[in-house]
Amino acid sequence: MKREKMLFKRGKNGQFGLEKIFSYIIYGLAVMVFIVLVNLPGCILDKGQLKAVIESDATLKAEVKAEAQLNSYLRAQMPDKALLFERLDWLKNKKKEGYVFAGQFDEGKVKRVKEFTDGNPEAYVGKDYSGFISSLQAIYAVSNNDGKNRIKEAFELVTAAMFFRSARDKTQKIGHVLYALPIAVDFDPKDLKPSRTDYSLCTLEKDFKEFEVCSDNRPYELFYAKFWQAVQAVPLHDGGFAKVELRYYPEPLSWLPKP
Amino acid sequence: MKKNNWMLLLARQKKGDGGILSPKMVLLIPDLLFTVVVIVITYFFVLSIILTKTSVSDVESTILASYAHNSKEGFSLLDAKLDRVYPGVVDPARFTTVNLESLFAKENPAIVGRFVKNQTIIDHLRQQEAKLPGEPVRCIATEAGGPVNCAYTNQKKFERWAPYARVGGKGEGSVKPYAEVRYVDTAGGKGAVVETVFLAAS
Repeated sequence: MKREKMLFKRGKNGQFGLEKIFSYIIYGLAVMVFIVLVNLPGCILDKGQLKAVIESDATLKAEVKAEAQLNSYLRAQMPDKALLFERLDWLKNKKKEGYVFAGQFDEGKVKRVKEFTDGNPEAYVGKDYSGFISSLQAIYAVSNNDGKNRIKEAFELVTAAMFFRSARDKTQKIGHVLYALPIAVDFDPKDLKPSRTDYSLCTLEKDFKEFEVCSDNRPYELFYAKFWQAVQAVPLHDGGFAKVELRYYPEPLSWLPKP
Repeated sequence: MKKNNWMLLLARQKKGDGGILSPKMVLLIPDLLFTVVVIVITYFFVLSIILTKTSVSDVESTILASYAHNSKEGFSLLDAKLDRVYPGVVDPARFTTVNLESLFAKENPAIVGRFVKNQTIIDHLRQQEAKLPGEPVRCIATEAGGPVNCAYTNQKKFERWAPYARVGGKGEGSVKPYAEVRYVDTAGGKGAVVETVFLAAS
């Protein structure tokens, strides 16, 4: 009897003491929740603020890229006449062949731009892009309406010919979409603040007269995409300065190079 | 007469007086379920309050790319007499892996990058009408065996990580690419496009 009692002796706290163990676990959880509630700094704070502090923000890198890109543009050496004309002709011919890319490169426009650059070599020969802008302003200031339109066209096409970039698109004949970031110049700015963001740069140039010249060759994929603005001042021959604004559109992931 | 132990056991079970399958063990099942529910609720409670996404590789890649462009020991044009760097103007002679590895060895960042300098797309397409550009990697040497148009911050590590980045895995141990494209000028006057890809292991 005694032996049987020893064999079947029950634990005081249930089988294997598991009740006590689970009690401890639940007690521990309650303590942990209490400690979390008490020690969370600003647990009632706006989640957005907390996220912005801890998480890397897309704005910083886009602003850095926009500024860096505008710097590169302004330092870019202007191509010589032969190279410039070759690029313009290539763009015109591709347009004729039915290739689709952003921008207007019809024959008449290209011809007028070639005539303008041929007649004003001092505007670009041996200069960088900021020097080109400065020279255009000098010509713009003394031109009539027709002359001003020629300058607008020259700025638009020369900018595109210099700064066209590509994105892979197998649906296009050449396998790429060609486009350029929007850039505009105000020859007589009041300040260096970025322009309003609810209109495209060239709409601001035409309808709101905020800029004198503008080049916008965005593909439709970027029409409603978010952008960041970079603004720089370019010194002019008359001692003033021009405001140059670039709108940087971060490329969609599929357009970026792969490792 | 001695009863067998197993008969005794059976008798005790019938009485409900202990044994292997105690009723208390059965009642512990809802206790266990309750514990699991409490743990899960606590987990989601903590998650709902704290959102910590501490991945800064995206910003780091932008900063390191700018470092290569702006640094005196980078690949931008350097006027030795004035000791002035021209960011945005690349010197092809300095656009080498040796130069970049030396530059980044000082910082020794956890992420590795590759810079590829190509012609502008118009010039490229004009000169190679028959070929379609866009191969994933365009690191080519000139015919004379001169400088290639690729520069790595750490070539061995990049080539080791690149296949994982192409696969596009997620979670621990995956490698993510961070890319950018930038127009630059080159010493010599022709424009170029620098495609940068940084790889970061998570």
